[in-house]
Amino acid sequence: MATILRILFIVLIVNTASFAQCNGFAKKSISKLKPYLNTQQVFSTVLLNGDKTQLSSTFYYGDEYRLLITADDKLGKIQLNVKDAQGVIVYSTKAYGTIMWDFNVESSQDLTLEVVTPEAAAGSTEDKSGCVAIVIGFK
Amino acid sequence: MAINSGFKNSVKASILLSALVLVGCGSEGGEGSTGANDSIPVLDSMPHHTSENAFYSIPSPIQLGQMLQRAGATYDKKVLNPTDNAAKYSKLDSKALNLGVYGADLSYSAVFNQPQEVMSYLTSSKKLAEDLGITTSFSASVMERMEKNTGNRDSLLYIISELFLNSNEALKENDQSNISVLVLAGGFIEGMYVGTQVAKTVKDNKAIHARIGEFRGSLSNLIMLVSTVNGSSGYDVLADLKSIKAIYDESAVTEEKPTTTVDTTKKVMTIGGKSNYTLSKEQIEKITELVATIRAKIIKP
Repeated sequence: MATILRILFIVLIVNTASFAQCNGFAKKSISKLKPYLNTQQVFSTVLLNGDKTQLSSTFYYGDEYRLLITADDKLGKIQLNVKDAQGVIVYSTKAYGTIMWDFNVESSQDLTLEVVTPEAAAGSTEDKSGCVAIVIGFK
Repeated sequence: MAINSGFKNSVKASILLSALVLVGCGSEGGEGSTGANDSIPVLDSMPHHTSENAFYSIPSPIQLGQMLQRAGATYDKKVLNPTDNAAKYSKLDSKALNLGVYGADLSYSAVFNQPQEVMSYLTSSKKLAEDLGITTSFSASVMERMEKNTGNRDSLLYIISELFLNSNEALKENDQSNISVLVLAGGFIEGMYVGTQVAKTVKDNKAIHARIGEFRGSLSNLIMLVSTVNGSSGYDVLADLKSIKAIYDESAVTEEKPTTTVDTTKKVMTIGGKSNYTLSKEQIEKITELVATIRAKIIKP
């Protein structure tokens, strides 16, 4: 029973640490939004190579936005797909280490931002994992 | 892949592992296991995303206030939650929702440059935040920065954004994602309430009503957010949000396929296309009435 409790304790500590680590990673990027105001929400997660995450948001006409997506170096260059309300990709960026784009909308739109990490290198036997954080600024 | 990423997924995996270990342990002893369901309540306190690793964003109260201001809204102190209510909330859910409400009232006051109200709503927010265990965000130095910048609207908006972001993150780090979602929900509902009430007093309110129509997508995102957490001991915020959405759903949204104009050197993008979120006069009236009823329930001590 003591061994079981030790395993549980270690698993929970590792999970909590990875969440805290990603949260810290995300908060570091907030200052880069200036002079835009943050939306008071930070989105961060741990991804593997070849993995994806997405953020759904309404973008309002009249607001200007700054989108900042940062990823752990070990994940490699990430790509952003902008999808419309039907899930159709309307724009894909090239792969970048950090993605920072300013944008606006000509009419209010429900969009989904999909972040994709690169596949693991051919022959690689180990999947790499790392934090990915998305923050949005507005003015 | 369920195991591919995210704190939530990894915790799910931990819970599964824990359950398997416990089941295995029970089998060895020849007794029935307690079952994996015993571990499920731990999922109440997860980050704001679903098992598909999807996140949902809603506009901050400052963003809502600015949108209303640009649409011709005015400042009306009478529609705000009285600050002396802050000491009267006793339940955890109520404190969380009203921290969101006061955050929205604080933001609305700051957007409309009302320094005295800003400080009053800051004090009420601080009280509820401390009751919820958020102590670092509303530190003495932050309060001092707010006081020093009462005449500087831009600085105030920046500090308030930082303050509520840090509070939200502190709750998540403290395994209280369910509470942070309630704070966000309270803020959004108050933003809708202020918008719908102020629209009644403004002569030309078409632009405000258009904005309220456009809140539809954000309301859906908030519903997704609230759906990811449980833990409400009394008031069912999800049911109320869904009842507002049902009124929006009485009319269809039309959206043209967006086009993009991109300057890859400057990394600037304009997303074109037209959308129509227009609501009928009857829908606006029903939303105004329903939001007022829900908000009255939230702010009732």
